[in-house]
Amino acid sequence: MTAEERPAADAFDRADIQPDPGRPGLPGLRRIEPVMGTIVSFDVRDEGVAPQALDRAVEHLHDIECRFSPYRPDSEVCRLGRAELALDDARPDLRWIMGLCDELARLTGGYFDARRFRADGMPDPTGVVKGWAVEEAAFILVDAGAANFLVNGGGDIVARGSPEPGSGRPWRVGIRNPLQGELLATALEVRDGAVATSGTYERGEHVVDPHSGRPSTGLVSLTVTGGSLAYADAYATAAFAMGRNGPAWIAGLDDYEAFAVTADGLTLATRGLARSLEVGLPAGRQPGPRRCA
Amino acid sequence: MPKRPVFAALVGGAALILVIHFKTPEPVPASPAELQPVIVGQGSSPIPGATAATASGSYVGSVISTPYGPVQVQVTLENGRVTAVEAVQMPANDPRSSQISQYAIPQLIQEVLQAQSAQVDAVSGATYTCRAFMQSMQSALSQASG
Repeated sequence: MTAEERPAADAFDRADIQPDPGRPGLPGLRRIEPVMGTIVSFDVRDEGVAPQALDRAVEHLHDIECRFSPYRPDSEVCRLGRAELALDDARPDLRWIMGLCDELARLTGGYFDARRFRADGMPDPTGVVKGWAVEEAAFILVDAGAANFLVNGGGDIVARGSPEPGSGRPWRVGIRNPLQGELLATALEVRDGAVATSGTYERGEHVVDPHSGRPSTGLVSLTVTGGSLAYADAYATAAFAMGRNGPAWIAGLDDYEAFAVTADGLTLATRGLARSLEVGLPAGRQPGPRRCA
Repeated sequence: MPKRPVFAALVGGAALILVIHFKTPEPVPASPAELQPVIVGQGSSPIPGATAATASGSYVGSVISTPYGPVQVQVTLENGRVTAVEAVQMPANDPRSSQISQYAIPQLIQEVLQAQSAQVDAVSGATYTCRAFMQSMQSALSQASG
C-alpha cells in the first residue's frame, strides 16, 4: 500500500519521526506518536537500546487505546458499560484499572469518579488510563535495558535516570504557564518519577466538579509530581476539580507534591516541592502572594 | 523502664493519627503550614527554566518526516504569544497537508518552549494546539469510517 492509499488516520498512526536533526550529537532514540487522543513522545538517552523496544511500547499504547477508550463502541470499557462484559470476565489489567478507579473515588471523596464523568453512562477511566499506559510503555523500555529516558504523554511525564547518563543531572521538566500558554511557569527536577498536569488550557474547561456538575474554577493549572504517573494523573484530575482546595489536599498525601496556578495568577506549591523549585529568592525571605510574571 | 511502653504507645498513636490525617479524603482549606506561595518567572534573579513574557522572534522547527514527505514549520512569537505558524517545508500536492502541519505544530510548540530555555528537557501541560490536532484527528477518523 502506498502512502497515498492509506486512510488519513492510519497515516497519522504510522508517521515515522526522525531524530531531531537540531541536536545531532544526542545519543539514544527519539520518537513521537499520536495515540490516545494526544501525542506521546519518547526520548531515550541510553546508547544501544534496540529501536524495536519503541515499536513495542507504541504498539502497547495503541492496544490500550483500543481496549480502554470510552469513545470506541467496541472497546472493552464500552462493553463493560453496556454490561455485555462482566467485570469478573474482563482481563486482569482492566479489572485492576476499574479497581484503581474505585480506590481513587474513595481517596478523593468522589472528586475522581470514573463513573460520573460521562452523560451516556459509560465508565470513563481515561483519567487513570493515560498515565498508567504511559507508565506501562516506560516499563517496556526498562525491560529493553533503558535506564535513562523520558516518556511524555501529552504533558504527562515519566522520567527515569538522567538526560546525560552518568552525569547525575536530573531531568528538568518545564511547567507550562496556562495564563500564557507559550511560556513556562517554572521547572521541576525529576530523577525517577512522574509529573502530571491538569488544567483549563488543555481542552477547554474539561474538568468537571462531580459534586456540582459544573466546570471547576479557581485553578487554571495543577501539576502533581510523585512516584506513579497513574496516581499523579488521577490526583491532578481530582485536585483540580476541588478548585482552590486541591493543592492543600495534595499536601496531605504521602509522597506526592503539587504546583498550582490560580485563576487570578497566584502560584502555589506544596512545601516539599517549594524547597526544590528554583524560585530565585534570597534565603530567608518569606515569599508573599504575587502575580505570575 | 515502665515509661517506655507508654512512650511507644504515644508515638504509635501519633503516627496513626498522622496517617489518618494524610489520607483524609475530604478537601481541606488551604493552610499556610502546608502550602507555600511561590514566585516564579519574575524578580531580579529570573529562574533558569522560566521565561520572560516578552519572548519574540521566529523559531524554525526540525524536519519531521511523514509518509507524505518532510514537514517543517516556523513559529513566530510576539510578546510570548504565538502569532503565526508557517510551513517552511510541506509535502507537495497533498490534500492532507493542513492536517500534517497540525500534527507537526504540537511538536514545534514544544521546541519553541525548549528553545526559550535550553535547560528544560520536557514540558508538562498539553498545548492548546492539541485541540486543533484533536479536531483534525476526529475529522480524519470520520472520513476514514464514513
